[in-house]
Amino acid sequence: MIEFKNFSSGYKNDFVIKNINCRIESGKTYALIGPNAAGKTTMLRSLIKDIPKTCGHISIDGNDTKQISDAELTKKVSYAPSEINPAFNYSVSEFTAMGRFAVNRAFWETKEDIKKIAEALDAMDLTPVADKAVSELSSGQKQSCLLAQIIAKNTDIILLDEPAAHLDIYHRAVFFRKILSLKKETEKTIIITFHDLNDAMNAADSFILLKEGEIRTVAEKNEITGELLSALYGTKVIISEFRDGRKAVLPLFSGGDGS
Amino acid sequence: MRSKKNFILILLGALAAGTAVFFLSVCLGPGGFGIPPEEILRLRLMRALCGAGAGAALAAAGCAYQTVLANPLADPYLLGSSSGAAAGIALLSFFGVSRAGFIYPLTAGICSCLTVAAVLKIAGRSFSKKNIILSGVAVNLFLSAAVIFLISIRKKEFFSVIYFMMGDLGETRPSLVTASLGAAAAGSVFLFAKSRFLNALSTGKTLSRQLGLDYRKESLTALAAASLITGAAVSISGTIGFIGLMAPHIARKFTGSDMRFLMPAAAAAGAVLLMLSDFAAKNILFPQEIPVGVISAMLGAPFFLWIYRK
Repeated sequence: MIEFKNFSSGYKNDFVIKNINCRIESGKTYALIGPNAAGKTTMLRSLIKDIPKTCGHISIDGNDTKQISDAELTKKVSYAPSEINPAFNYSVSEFTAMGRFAVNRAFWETKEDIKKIAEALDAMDLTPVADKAVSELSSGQKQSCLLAQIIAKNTDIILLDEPAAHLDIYHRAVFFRKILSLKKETEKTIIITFHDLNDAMNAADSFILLKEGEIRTVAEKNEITGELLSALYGTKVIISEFRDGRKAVLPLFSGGDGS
Repeated sequence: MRSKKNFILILLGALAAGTAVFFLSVCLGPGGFGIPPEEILRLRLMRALCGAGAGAALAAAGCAYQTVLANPLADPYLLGSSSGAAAGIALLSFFGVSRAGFIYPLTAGICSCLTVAAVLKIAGRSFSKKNIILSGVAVNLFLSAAVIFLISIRKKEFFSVIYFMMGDLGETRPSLVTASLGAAAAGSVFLFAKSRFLNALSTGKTLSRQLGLDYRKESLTALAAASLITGAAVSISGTIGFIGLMAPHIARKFTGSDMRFLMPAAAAAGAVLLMLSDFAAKNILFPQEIPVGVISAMLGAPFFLWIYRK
């Protein structure tokens, strides 16, 4: 379990995240949502101690992250930014193999490392392009490559920062299908930041609603209402439920209160 | 992903290429191919050794600068690292310190470190590619001017330094060559042992952090090692530009970017490039000799523009 206790974090003079308190249960998938500049990325990066100014505590399974070394923390938490643009032409397999560096820092990978790398490539359907340069991949494949690195690393907590930001509908569907199968096969805690609330409704079990650096609500998926979302984003949002129980979120750009 | 078998093949290929060009540069001269008289053989061996060692060292430093800064344009010369080392050497010469032992490579290495630190400070926190190169060029020009100023004060004693500033592999003092090559080799082996760390650093601050690296500590360590290697190379070869830029890019075509494979191949490419440049410098206008830095710049400047436009 991850717990934020009176936690604030930010850069130079300002705290972006302000005195938040929340518990994130193990084995569940959370959607971290909120308007631009709400502090979603800062909240995620705080978990890997990548924010310079912090106050308060974050604990993972009862251990304060301040007391956990970087090398140990990386074995528990993985973080993927919204896009990658490697400066050099690392191949997909070389990039994925870097995930094992977090586990084993010897000069050569062990047999176990090589097995995990192959499994990760396979899980992300990247085996056919394993020797291709990451820079030559499509945005969707790059995201899969990043996820393959994380799978090879094999941490209990996975943080994904707007993973679908640059993907079209098809690649979004492919990517989130992989996330859902990862969720089904493992007991991992996954926190994903979203701008597309339909993706969030499809992929997440629970929601963390963040605005102006403060947590407004932590709720299960079925507790999320149009009113909550409208208040969060400051514009009219409705949720429509289909017969099979799936939900669609629709922001109203014209008419009603959204006009 | 490349295997250990690939590594051995790359290592053997690198050794074969380096040895072949070393042999050529010792045996091939204006008088044709063959083993020269003992005195000339000694000079050519020393010269080839300095060329191979300095070329390999500049290439290793170039690999590290490019990877840590995630900047394909980074190179000991363009970052001002070589000029910093040359300024340190000029200062030692100015105060009449004899050219022997570790004092020259050590001073050159420290000055190189300080110069890179200044360039990165001036470039700002973002480490943008253009900012770094522009700051490097500015610091380069300033240090070159400072060295020329020192030369102007004592014209007679400093004629050799002018030549040195443009690249010269004519160093014959065994203690200086041994100390410099020893320091460069130690630094290069250290960086090579850190290959997987360098791979992780090349992904940038956030991704390398999620791989468990202390980004600041590891970056500074690698940059310091690369600068010390540059200092050691400059103390026997003078300021030679672009070898550290070209060699890693040429090697990458054969090995990819994994530093475990790239670094030995780049070191061999650097050694071969500098020995060939020196061969051209000695023979193009024979009996007149051109500074080797002129040849490397003539090759390197278009290469830089090609990489910049990519």
